[in-house]
Order: sequence, then C-alpha cells, then structure tokens
Amino acid sequence: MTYLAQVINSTIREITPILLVALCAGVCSKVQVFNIALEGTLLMSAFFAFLTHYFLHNIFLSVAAAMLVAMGMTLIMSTFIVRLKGQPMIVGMALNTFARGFTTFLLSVIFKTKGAVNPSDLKGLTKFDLPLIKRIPFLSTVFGALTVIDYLAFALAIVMFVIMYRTVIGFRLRALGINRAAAGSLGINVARYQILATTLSGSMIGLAGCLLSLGRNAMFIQDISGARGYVALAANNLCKGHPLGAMISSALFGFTTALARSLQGTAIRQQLLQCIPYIATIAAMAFYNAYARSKARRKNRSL
Amino acid sequence: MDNERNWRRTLLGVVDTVTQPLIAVLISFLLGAVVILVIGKNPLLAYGEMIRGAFGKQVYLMNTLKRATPIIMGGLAVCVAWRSGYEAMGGEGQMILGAMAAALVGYYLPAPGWLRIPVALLAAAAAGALYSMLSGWLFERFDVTFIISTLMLNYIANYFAAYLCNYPLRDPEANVYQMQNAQTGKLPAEVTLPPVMKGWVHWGFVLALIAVLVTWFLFKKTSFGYKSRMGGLNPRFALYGGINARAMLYLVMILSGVMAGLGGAFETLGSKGRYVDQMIFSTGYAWTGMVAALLANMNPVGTLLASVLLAGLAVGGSTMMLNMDIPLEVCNIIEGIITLFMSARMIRIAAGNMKRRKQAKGGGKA
Repeated sequence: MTYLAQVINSTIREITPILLVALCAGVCSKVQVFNIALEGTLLMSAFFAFLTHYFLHNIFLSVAAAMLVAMGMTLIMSTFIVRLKGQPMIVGMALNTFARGFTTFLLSVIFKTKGAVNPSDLKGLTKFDLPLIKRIPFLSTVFGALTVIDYLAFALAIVMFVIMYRTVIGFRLRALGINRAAAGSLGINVARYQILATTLSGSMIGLAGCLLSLGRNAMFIQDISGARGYVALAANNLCKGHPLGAMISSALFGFTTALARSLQGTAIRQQLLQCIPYIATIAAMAFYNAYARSKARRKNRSL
Repeated sequence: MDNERNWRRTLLGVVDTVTQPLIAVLISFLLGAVVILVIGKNPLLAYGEMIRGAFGKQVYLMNTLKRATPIIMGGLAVCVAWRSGYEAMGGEGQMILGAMAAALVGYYLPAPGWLRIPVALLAAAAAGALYSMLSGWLFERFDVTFIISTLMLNYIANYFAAYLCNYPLRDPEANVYQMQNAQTGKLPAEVTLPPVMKGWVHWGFVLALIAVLVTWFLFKKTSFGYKSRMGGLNPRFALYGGINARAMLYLVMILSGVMAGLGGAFETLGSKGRYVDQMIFSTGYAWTGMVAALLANMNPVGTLLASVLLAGLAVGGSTMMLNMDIPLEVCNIIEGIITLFMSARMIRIAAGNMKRRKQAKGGGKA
C-alpha cells in the first residue's frame, strides 16, 4: 500500500515538469510558432536556477532567474522565427545545441566537472504540506514532499484554459493562430502578439526547470532535462494544445516514467525499461489518431 | 532593363548564399571570443590552436575527415528526407542501429573477413532503412508526425543498443572491474575498413563521397527528386500526375535510412572497431549532420563541405581543450550560434527593407 502511494507520488513529480513545458508548447502551437527549443530552454533554466541558488542561497531569486532565462530563450526563439523569418526547426535545433554547449561549458568552468554537482549544504525548493492530509496515512505519502510549484502546475493548467478559452486575449491568440491574415485585418498586431504570448508562456518552462534542479535536493547533472522538452512537445501534440488535455497527456508520460522507474531491480533490464515512456508516447499518438480517424469516418457515413 | 534586373537578381542570390554564412560565422566566433575572454584566455590563440588542430597537419586533417564521415552520412539522410518535404530527424536512431548491426555481423558472422565487410554494410543499411520505414509507416498509417516519432525512436534505439552491448552482446574479453562504457567484442583487423593509404583516412570517407555524388545525381539528373518532392509537398497533385505518393514516401524513407545506417557502419568498421555504448548518441554525429545539411540548404555537396567544417570545429576544439584548458563545449556554443544566424533570412530581409524604402521615396515603380 505504501508502495502504491510512493508510485503515485513519483508519478505526480514526473508529471509536473512535463505539464508546465507542455502548457508553454500549447500557447506556442496556438499562435503558430513551432517551438522545438523547449528542450534547450528547460535545460538552461534548470541550470540557472541551480547556479543562482548556489551563489546567492535564495530560493526566490533562483526561481526568478530561471523564469527570466526561460523567457529570454523563448524571446530569442520567437524573434528569430517571427521577425527574422527563420525556419522554426533550425532555430530550435540551434538553441538546443547552444544550451547543451553553454550549460556544460559553465559546468566545467565553475564546478570543474562534466557530471553531477550535488552540494550537500544546499536545500531544494520548500516542501509544502497540505494541513489536513498530513495526518491521513496513505494520502500523506501520495502528496508528500511536493513543492509549491508542483501544485502551481495544475493550477496553471486551469488558468491557461480560462485565459485561452474564456478571455478576449485568448480568443485573439487562437484567432491569429487559425488565420493570420484575418486576425491582422481585425487590427491585431500579429507578430507582436506572437512574440509576447510565447515569451510570457516561456516563464512556465522556467518553473519546470526549477523543479528539475531544485525539486528534491539542489543538484545539477549534465543534460538534466533528459528529453522532457521533446516529450512535452509530444504531449502537447496529443492534446492539440488544449491546457486541460495537457494534464491528461502529460499524466500518461509521467505515469509511464514512474512505472519504468518502479520496475527497476526486477528481471527486466534497466535499459529496456527506459524505452517504455518513449514507446508509450508513440503508441498513444498512434491510437489516438486511429481513433479520431475512425470517428471522423463514422460521422461522414451517418451524414 | 529586364536583363539588368536578372543580372541584379543573380548577384543578389550569390551575395545571399555567400554573405549569410560569412556573417553567421563571424558573429558566432565573435561571441565565442567573448566567452573565451570571460574565462580569462586569449581568444586569438585559442582559435589559432583550433584551426591548427583541425587542419594544420596531415594527422589532424585525417582525424577531421574521419570524424566528418558519419556526419556527412547523417547530413545526406536529412537532405534526402527534407528535400522531399518530410521533416524527419531519425538519423540518430538509424545510425545507432546501423552501427550496432555492423558490429554484430562483423563479430559473429562465421565467414572470411573479406566477405564480412560487405555483409556488415548491407546489414547496417537494412537496419537503418527498416527503422526509417517504421517512422514512415507511423506517419502514413497513423498520422504520427515525423518530428515526434523520430525523436522518440532515437531514444528507443539508443537504449536498445545500450541493452544489447551491456548484456547479450557484451565483449567476452571485457574487464568487469574496468570503469568504461560497455562495448561489443573487438572486430578482427581484416573486418575493419582499411585506410586508403598509409596514414590516411579509412575507406568509409571515400564511400561517403560516393554517397554524396549519388544523392546529387538522384536529385539533379533523375526524375526522382521531382517525384519525391511532389509526393511530400502535395500528395494529391502527385496522384494527379501519376506519382504514387505512398510508394515515394517509403522510397525516400528507405534511402534516408540507408544513408544514416551506413554512416553508423562506417563509424563502427572504420573508426571504433566495435560498438561502444553511447558512441553515436554522445558525439551527436546525426545532429551535427543535420546542422550541416541545414547550413547547406539541403544541397548534398554543400552538406559535404559543412560537415568537414563542423567536424574540424570539434576536432580542433579538443586540441584547444588539451593545450589551452578551454572546455570543448565552446565549439557547441559556436555551432549553435552559427546555426541560429544561418536560419534568419537577414540579407533577404535587409534587401526587402531597402527596396521598400526606395519605393516609398521614388513613389512606387519609378
């Protein structure tokens, strides 16, 4: 029973970074800025969260730094795509290469290592215990040791839903994604909206970065983002950019990752277990698309 | 008047293709110099070291060409797929499986050495092609976009190869207590690709050059290039023109996978002599190849040149690291910035702005 609770707990922790990144990817895809730099942005913000915390010992400043760095990266990305007409794929790849090089470079210059930095005197993000649930045995493990950002991630999904689907700004953003020219003729400055929306949503990647490097203990490992940016891209693709759908699709990936981890030490080798989340991603997309296709066919037949 | 305009357009085109890379390289090296200055080293010395370490001596140059070999093949794989409108990035996974297949056949096939090399190459090509077809099938049958399926398949291939060389195919002579990456058995000398001449790069590089020519020929001199592009960009139009878009999709994916798979085989047979865990993944050959293809705007010959330059950046970077104690990753930073500034259509935008200003001044078409 405690084992189950632990699995659920680690599932939640796996979900939240992916969810936050997927929410940003959702905004980007709604305004037609294809953002594949998510991975590099996540890596950079995780690194700068750690670095700020290491030097300044201030958790708020490090969260702020991570958000700023993530917004900066996203700003560069969207400026190159929207204003300078760069091909999105190239821009994203370039930023990912840059992020990987830059973080490893600073890691080896500042900490003289290319592996992991794990200073024992640094604490991670403050853990936030729900007052009532703390006393209930099962639930206390399920919700144990979660940070404020973990809860914030789910709240943000709802907030993003309200913004995108219940406000004028959200309506405009979705409109310019659907038809740029029509949105432009309504007097919306398309390029400015695109850049602003993506940059602001980039701050959510910053929060995800904090979770990676400061979520449990304060530590940084080379390539700590570990393809989460790409997985989030897939999660967003699965839910077609809907913020509430993102909760479900990132839960799928969080669950498979936690499952793969909990099966470690069994007869199945670790390397094969690590494939599970990626296989699940592809399978989920294939099943969903096949389902959507057959539904569309049935609808056509009934007409 | 028309002649003059044509002439001017051609000139602008040439300026565009030449100036853009120059500006990108200049900016990136300037920013790289800032980074090197910040850690208290002399950037000029560092760049001198880098260039010397990449192209300065025959040994260094051959090292660069050796490193360029899988990069070229990865770049060609991207050229083939992207020119046809399929933005697939599965070169890494295909290269890993190709490298693994070559190591497997080369080590275990009970046949004389001279026969094992072609069989290993064939196996690698087949492995790459099949894996590439898998993403093609996912796209064709289930609408799974190439970007996502290939990204995921890359990780799956890497973990699968890691499993193989850690457990079933682990080098029987490996020292268990030695701290190193897992690897398969060492190939006997007659199963490795020999150097072209004494002290030269191995035959894999020559084969890569041939692959460049084949790709160039396919796209410039046959109808394949046109057909595949139609199939990728507009399947309906292709159908109208009597082109089977589905067959073209699989053909393109097979060709792209063969290129990447062979790239992995060249690395195994020519350079490492075995499959070492993470040998394709951590070096980023396929990604660098993709960057090279993007820089060359999907031109096979340009991809070759860009691959050699990027390989030189990495090889020279390690000399710089050894002699000047500057982390190798400066090269990744430079590579990233070059790519970023190559992506922007700076010259064309500037030219457009100038034209608009001129028109505004001259009152339209004067």
